[in-house]
Amino acid sequence: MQLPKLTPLQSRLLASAIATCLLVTILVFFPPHRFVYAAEIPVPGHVQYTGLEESTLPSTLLDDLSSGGDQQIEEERSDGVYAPDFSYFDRSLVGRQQSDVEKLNNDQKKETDINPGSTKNFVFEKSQLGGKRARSLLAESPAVRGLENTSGEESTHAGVLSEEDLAEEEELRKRQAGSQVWISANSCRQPEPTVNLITGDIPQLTLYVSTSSKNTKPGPSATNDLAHDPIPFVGGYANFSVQTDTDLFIGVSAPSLTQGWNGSWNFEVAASVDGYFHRYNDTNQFIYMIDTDSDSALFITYNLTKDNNSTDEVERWKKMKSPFTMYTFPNGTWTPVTGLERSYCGLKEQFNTTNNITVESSITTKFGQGLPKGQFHVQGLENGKTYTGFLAVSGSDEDLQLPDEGVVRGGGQVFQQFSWTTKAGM
Amino acid sequence: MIFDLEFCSDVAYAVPSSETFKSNDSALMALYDNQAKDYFKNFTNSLDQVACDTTSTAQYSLARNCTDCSRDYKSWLCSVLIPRCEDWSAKDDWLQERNINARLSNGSLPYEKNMTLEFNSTKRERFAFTKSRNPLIDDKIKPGPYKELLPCEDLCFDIVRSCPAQLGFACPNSPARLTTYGQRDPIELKCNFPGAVVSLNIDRGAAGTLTARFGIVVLVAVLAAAWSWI
Repeated sequence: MQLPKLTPLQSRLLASAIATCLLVTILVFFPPHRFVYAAEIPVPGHVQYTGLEESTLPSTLLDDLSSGGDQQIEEERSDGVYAPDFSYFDRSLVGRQQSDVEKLNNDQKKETDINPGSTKNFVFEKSQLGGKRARSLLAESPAVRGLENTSGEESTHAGVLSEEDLAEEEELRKRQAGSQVWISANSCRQPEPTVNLITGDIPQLTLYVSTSSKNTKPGPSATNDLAHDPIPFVGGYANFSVQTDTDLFIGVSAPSLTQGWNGSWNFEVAASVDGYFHRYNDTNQFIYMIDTDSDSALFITYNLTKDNNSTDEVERWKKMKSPFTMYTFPNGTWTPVTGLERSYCGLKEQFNTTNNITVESSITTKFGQGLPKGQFHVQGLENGKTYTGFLAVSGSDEDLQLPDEGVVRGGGQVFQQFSWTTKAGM
Repeated sequence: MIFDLEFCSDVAYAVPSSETFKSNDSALMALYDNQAKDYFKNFTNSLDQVACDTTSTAQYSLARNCTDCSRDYKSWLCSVLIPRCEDWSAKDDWLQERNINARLSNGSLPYEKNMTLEFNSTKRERFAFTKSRNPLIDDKIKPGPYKELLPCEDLCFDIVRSCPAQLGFACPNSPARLTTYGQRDPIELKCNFPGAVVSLNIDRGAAGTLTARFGIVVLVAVLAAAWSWI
């Protein structure tokens, strides 16, 4: 059979028609979904890419992204901060594992044991400085929500973000120019001596504070970039206050024990933006002795309110269960509280375990002007002996205002120690 | 040491006691308190004879009334009937020795070696030293020798000031005043009064004021010298 003769144009048309049919055939018989395979990599449940409601994500992530790379993303073990956890990579490859840094919340103490020669670290996060500020940063940066996907795209997004939100960030940073944080700590238990004759001072803990991210675990082996020289505990008490707008890193270290001491410490530490959590007053005893005889003594505190005319105030104090208490120990070179004289939890624990001295504490309005004052009747003493006493106020969730003394907060307050001698009874 | 008495509510100090009352504080308190109540009742009867609620021309004083008199008398009565005592071994010189002829708790007599005539006339034979001011103490309580922190003399002055002259109150002059009343001291507790307290940092306080005064004197002297030199 003879092929029909085609003009060049007709042959071109025929060729394109055949190609089109061929393509359509391929499309029909081999659908695209047979060749393409895209699926999500399985992700562990706790990593929240979309968890942008938490407050710390934007600023920390922004800072880290603008400096580039995901090795610098902070990895605190806490909710709301991006913690990379790729299932195909070991944690040690991805970044430093900070396993033993505890988080401090505003106005809440953390109590923990510590062995000699070791250091415990804590962090007081920027979010605790006043969460309101960080949340406002999030609300004003809607573009942040675009950060959901793989790392490749994040840096470009960050570039876009910083241009858009730069002005806002600057303004917010100025407002956050620093708030005051008060850090305080008390030793509750300490090592005991194994020998009868104590020749040296009892070893005390040391407090390290750092506000710079170059030193996130301050301690005796990391003394660079500290906010202050290492602060030794005195009488079981240490405090420090600093102005900061970044995370605050705290380290408490226990020295190695020398010969003659045995045991470990137990301490409490707290940070607050309102004032010292644990307090100690070095200048005032806040107490008077009424008199003593051979086996008992009577004490009163200073007036608890200065207002003579306010009967409501007086009634309130009278109804209150006395928050005051007096801890007493026989005098000597070594008493169970040597080294813990300024620590409320230390005094309280040691008092319960020693001797048979009883202290009845109440609120009275006698002894002048009808103003309320605390009263303590100490019994069970021995005649002719010298005793050391400490007035302490127990802490509670409500702040307690004392005239001329400020506010007593959750960790309690200890006043300067005093001593007296009972009568000889002769 | 007794406190929270029913009548003499401002009393809160160590008082003479003895073995019988050592563990029985409430009996001791009742003993002192009841005696004070009795004396005060007698006083109230006397005060009732005085016109208190009358016109200002008939009152015994415009500056004081019967309430003041009653209150001041009560303070004085409680301080005198219930003496504040210290150990016999206390060394302060403003304390008054009482009951020196009784035996101490270890059986010995105070001043037993001192039998001189002079001592006998100055101390051993004087009631101020051999007896307590309140006979009840020697009769019922029988404490050993003790030293008393005397009541402040202004307690006595106050009842003379506040009470009507017809009651006839008067305060002793020396030498009797030395053994019955003490004088106030701004720094230390040298006499007893209701509501007295002991400040526990008393030594530091005194030294502090002394050094401050001394410092000021030195400064003034230096300035004066410089001024005169110029």
